[in-house]
Amino acid sequence: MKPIRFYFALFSGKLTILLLKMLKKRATNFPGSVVLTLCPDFLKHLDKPEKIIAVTGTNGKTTCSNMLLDILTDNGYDCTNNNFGGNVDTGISACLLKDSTLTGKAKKKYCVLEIDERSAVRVYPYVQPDILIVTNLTRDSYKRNAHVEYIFNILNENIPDKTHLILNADDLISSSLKKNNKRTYFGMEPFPGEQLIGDNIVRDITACPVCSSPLEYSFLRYNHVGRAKCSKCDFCSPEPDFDTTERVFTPDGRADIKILHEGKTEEYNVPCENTINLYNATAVAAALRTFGLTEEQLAASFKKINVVRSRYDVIQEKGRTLKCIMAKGQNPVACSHSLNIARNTPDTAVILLWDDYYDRKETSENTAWYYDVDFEFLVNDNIRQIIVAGKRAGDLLLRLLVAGIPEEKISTTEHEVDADKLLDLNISKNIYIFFDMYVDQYKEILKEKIKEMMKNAD
Amino acid sequence: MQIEVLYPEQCNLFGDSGNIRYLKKCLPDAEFINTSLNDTPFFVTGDPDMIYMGACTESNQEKIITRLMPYKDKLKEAIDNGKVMLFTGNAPEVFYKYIEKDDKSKVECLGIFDLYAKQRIYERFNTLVLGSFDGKEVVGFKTQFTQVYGDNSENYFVKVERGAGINKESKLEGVHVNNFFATSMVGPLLVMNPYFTEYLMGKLGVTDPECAFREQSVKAYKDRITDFRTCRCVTE
Repeated sequence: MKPIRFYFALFSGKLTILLLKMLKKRATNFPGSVVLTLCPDFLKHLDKPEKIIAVTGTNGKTTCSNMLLDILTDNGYDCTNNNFGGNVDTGISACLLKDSTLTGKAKKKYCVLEIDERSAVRVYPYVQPDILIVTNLTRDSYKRNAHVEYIFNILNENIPDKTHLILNADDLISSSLKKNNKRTYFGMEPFPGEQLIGDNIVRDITACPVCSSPLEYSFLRYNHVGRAKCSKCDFCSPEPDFDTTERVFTPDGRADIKILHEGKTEEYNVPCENTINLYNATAVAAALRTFGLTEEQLAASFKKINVVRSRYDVIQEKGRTLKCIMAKGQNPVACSHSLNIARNTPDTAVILLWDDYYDRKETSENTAWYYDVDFEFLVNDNIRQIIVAGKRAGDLLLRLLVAGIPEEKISTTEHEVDADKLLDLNISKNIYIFFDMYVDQYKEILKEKIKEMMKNAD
Repeated sequence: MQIEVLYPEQCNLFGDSGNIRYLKKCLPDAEFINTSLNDTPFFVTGDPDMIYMGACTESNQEKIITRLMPYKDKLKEAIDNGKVMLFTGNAPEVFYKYIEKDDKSKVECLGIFDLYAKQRIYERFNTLVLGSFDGKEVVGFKTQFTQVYGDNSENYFVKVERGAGINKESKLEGVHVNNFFATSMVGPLLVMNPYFTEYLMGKLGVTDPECAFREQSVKAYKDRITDFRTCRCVTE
């Protein structure tokens, strides 16, 4: 027997969704906040879809869950999902509420969820994924996520025992989660010509967790992600069950990849423009093959899907290319991935829009994270200009100088939308705008202005 | 000049490694000696001019306490003799009496200072800090699971104007004894505080010390002081 407060919350939540619809507002988190305020254990009483596939981890959650949803939809699976927004308990409550009947029954049989790592405590007791991808665990916002060990412990204590885990074999931290759960590992071999230098500032695991001896890497792709073994004891990276062995990038921002699985090679054309993003496609392939899709179904759907343009946008004009790439600000590993993309392209200008929108509005941003980002990647002759725009431009300028970038290459402005005024197209053929997810509005204005500049340039 | 960096593979959270990268620019002729977790610290056999340690995870903190416990007297002697030492983030807790964990169990620390820390893993504390040391403003950020208790009124490092000291109610931050500086402020404290960096450089024997990228560092420092005086001081 469900409590009265559950039905009251359910009815109020439904009414909230209806009102938001009438007001033409998106029902992201708010209906979830309403139901959880009225009934804190709302998720416990709400009926759940029969089969839940979820994604968690520091980087790649949204990309993976978008791919999962697109591919499942393409194969005729109608899925409840939270791709419209919130990945915390309120967002998850809102999406399950939206796809439930007036008596609280699930309308759909399948569900794809992106779940924030810290929400594990409030979500997993009631919403138990059948399959859960953990993309990776690296350091993230200090304020919210503290450090990797903290997040690891939260996940390890809360992921349900019944959940089949899809884990990154090349991440020595997340691959050690929930040792007794059923698990499938994905990974990627070193590729011919790939720069495997692993020269990032940050490594979240450097010593063997068993005996504290140094780890020996056979390859290190980025940060602590690669394949390693302990120099003293038996601790080592697990063998991948789905192992990407080959990749060829195509000019349309995609890649042809080969995945070795149970001795057979599977071939897919995936929407990934760089090697690091291929981990997401490999994870999705591992999850959906585990779910039961055939190689043919997966291959046909992968071909059709694209990455959401708000996260990655390319404009070409008169021999110049403008790429807008979103990275979670205050997430040093994600931001370092962005800088790595610009590392070797010729005649490059980099525009950084990395102020935290909300911290700027509400307080003063803790900029310590700049010192965990690999700005040293930009100490190259190909980098002709770096434009820093935002209130914290002075702090970023200092960080770039500490990295070893000559001052004459750097210009600053406090106003994001003025960055174009500092851009010199005479020396720049490849322009990158790296932006935080909450300053999309500035990026859009800047993108249009630079597009015009490119049209009018020689 | 020799500067020992204790356990940099573990003690590098929250941008703390920025301190050493900046010091390398400020002191280009100095030798930086990294001590790994299973190594005997250099200060045991050698005589570094400065010792630095940054923030680490709670489990690594316990390992480090075990590693440093045999050298407790040596560290106390170094403090008494005026060795330049800087400990940031949760590194200072190693020198306190104990850390009380969520389940009320205690991790015994070196006991050099009569302070103790309460660690609450589900109560993350974030704040900015604006205070003063040696007549100059000091700016910084805190992001931590612990609150420190005890009397540091005779040996505090920073007198706090906005933000918090060793705990939410305190306005006295950290510990300063001779040339030993301990603070739970994190990140590139030295980059953010050019005058304090020059003060430390002076203590290391540099005459007319001038920190790296002084002009830009002083500008960023002054901008932040203005910002800290006017922004909302969100403590959460």
